[in-house]
Amino acid sequence: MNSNTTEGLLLDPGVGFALLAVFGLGWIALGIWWGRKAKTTEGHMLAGRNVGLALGTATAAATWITSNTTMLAPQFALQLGIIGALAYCTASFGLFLFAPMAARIRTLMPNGFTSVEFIRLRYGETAYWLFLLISIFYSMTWLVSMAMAGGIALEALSGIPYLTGMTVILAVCVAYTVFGGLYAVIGTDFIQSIIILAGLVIVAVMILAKEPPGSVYERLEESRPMLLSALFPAALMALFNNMLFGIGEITHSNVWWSRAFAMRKGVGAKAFLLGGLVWLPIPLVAGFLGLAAPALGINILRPDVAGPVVAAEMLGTLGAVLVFIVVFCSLASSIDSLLAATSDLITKDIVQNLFMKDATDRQLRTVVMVVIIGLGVVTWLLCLGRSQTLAEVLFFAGPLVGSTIWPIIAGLYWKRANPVGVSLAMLMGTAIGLFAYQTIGWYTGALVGTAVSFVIVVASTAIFPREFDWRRLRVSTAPKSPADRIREEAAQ
Amino acid sequence: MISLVPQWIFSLLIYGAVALAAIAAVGLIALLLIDRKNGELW
Amino acid sequence: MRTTPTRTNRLVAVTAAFLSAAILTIAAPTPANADEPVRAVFTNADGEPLSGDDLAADSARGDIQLHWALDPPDADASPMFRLVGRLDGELVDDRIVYYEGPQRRSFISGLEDGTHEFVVMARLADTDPWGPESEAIVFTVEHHSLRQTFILLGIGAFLFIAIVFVVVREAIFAENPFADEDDAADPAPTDRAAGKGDGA
Repeated sequence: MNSNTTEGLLLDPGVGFALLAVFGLGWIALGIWWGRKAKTTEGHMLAGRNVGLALGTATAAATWITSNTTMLAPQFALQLGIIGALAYCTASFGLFLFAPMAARIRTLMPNGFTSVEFIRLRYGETAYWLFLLISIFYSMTWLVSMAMAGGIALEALSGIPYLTGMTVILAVCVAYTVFGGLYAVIGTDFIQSIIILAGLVIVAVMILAKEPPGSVYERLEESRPMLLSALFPAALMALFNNMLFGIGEITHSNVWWSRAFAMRKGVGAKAFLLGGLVWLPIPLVAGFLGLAAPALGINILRPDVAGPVVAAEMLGTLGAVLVFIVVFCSLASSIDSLLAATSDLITKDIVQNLFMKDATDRQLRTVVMVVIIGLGVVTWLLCLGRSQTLAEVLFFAGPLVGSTIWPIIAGLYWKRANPVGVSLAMLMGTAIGLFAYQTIGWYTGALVGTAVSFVIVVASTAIFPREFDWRRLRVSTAPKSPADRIREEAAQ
Repeated sequence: MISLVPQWIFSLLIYGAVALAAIAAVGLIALLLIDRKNGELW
Repeated sequence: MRTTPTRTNRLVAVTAAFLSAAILTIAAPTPANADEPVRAVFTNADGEPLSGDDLAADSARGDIQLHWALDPPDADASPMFRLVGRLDGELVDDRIVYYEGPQRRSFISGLEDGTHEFVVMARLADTDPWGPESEAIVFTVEHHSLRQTFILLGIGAFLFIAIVFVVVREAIFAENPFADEDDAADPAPTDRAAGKGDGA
């Protein structure tokens, strides 16, 4: 369509490349700088298990701010209205609920590394394989959809070709994660969360200065009344499904478990609670950009670029630059975390557990780095096709992650949870949840997966209780000889 | 008939969210300055 | 955080209706310069004439993506367009102006239940009157039933409350099975946990 003059890009590609270069090189430099602290594998994987409250809070919030939170929230608000925006905000409940679990995880396994390791020790081999498959599937689809979204977003904002943008984002994240490990991931998360919050607040304040919420409301009431409806069926149906999806993502994923292991004793619960509070307003603020468009007289060309278009119309080039940086930061803060947490999982739970039981610290360190680079390459290859279908596969993850919520909760708190029941719960929850997703609708996938899993876990534990000796969690993760040295060093 | 969310609640939500986000940004920096034991990163 | 997959065409109950000449003559303003009235027409995303399934719309969510162009196409012209719509039963004079400007597409959302009718018109200069109205796009919106909504809300609320109940209860009452060891190994755990240190 020959309408480039009127529907043009928000930012000159040259400016886009310059921003990409400045921030990309900045993150890599910080990664190398912080990487010098990671003297051991444990340091690289878990930042020395010594992360404090400020960085812990920021990393919980920043990792949960994906490109969806900043790019998709305006679209979500435009499609599902104010109730839809509020429903999106409830994803922060996942962080709130994980707060006490993080404390429990650290108490039960002070020397643990991954969520899969917990499942293996707590429930045995069958549950381990099921949980491993779900974890890897979820991590890879999230990673691929995020890298793909990055390439698409940079192209839409500044005309940087998809392949170039996607490659640069991935390469930058792989580079600083390899050099700096979780130190770099968490350190950059802090800076990224400040940039994202400040960027969104600036744009929102500019809009509020021009159009108060009252006039936004009046314009919506006139032309798009359902967006203000308290009883918007599609939004209400999405509410708990999305909330359970979010809770499932957080309770099962090693992205969050590795943070629970990495935070200093007594920090985890507070950090996740505060992180949830930091995250809570963001979908509503970003959603407001979308909702304000009609009142500001801004035409919504396509729902998926509504937020950036509004920012650019309000603040000109500065707005476009801000949006570009915010999107880049939200992408990087999630991709780096996924790379780090998934490489931990592959290193500890596949390579070490199955093939290299007696690996030395030095060998493991090499494995981690190779795995991070390998993950980057695999993700890059999967993203080459820019396949929309591949991105939509992520929605299948709802039933999968939903079915893990109760196995995790029962495993952490119930001494008598039944391992066979737990495996069955994940299997049946996934299967029936996927069936509901296909036959009833997308808004039932996580809901049904969680419900089926809940019934099986609770029933099997009540009818066939199996006693578990908590000590097995600690004996198996007790530090071995190389790690012993580290602990001695740390104690001095 | 559509049952609309009242206008004052809509305004409250928007102002509240923007204010909370601003407080969060300032709060994170304040927290970093107060709590210096941050995994020795800073 | 995941959101709605856009299964656009699945729930669509869209018909591009070709209005009768009678309605057109009543509704369309007579162009002052009858020699050169410019016509606008709805198109698909590629700017081609609209056919049956081209429209991306979601009847259960009440949103639709519209595209339009000049008819016949004129690459040299820089026309202005005006997109208006109304809910079935409302007066033509009460139509809502959704867009006025040079762009050639718009995303309309938040429509209420009922049959919505959109038309687009064009003009070449700000001083010209608007050209004749295009054929209308008729879009029937039917949100999910509240009964189904509340059933799903109920199941979701139950599951959510169960999770919160167990986690909060256990967070308060669950005992540390390693309490003895931890106390012995770490005689003053509060010192390190309190975070009141004076810097590293």
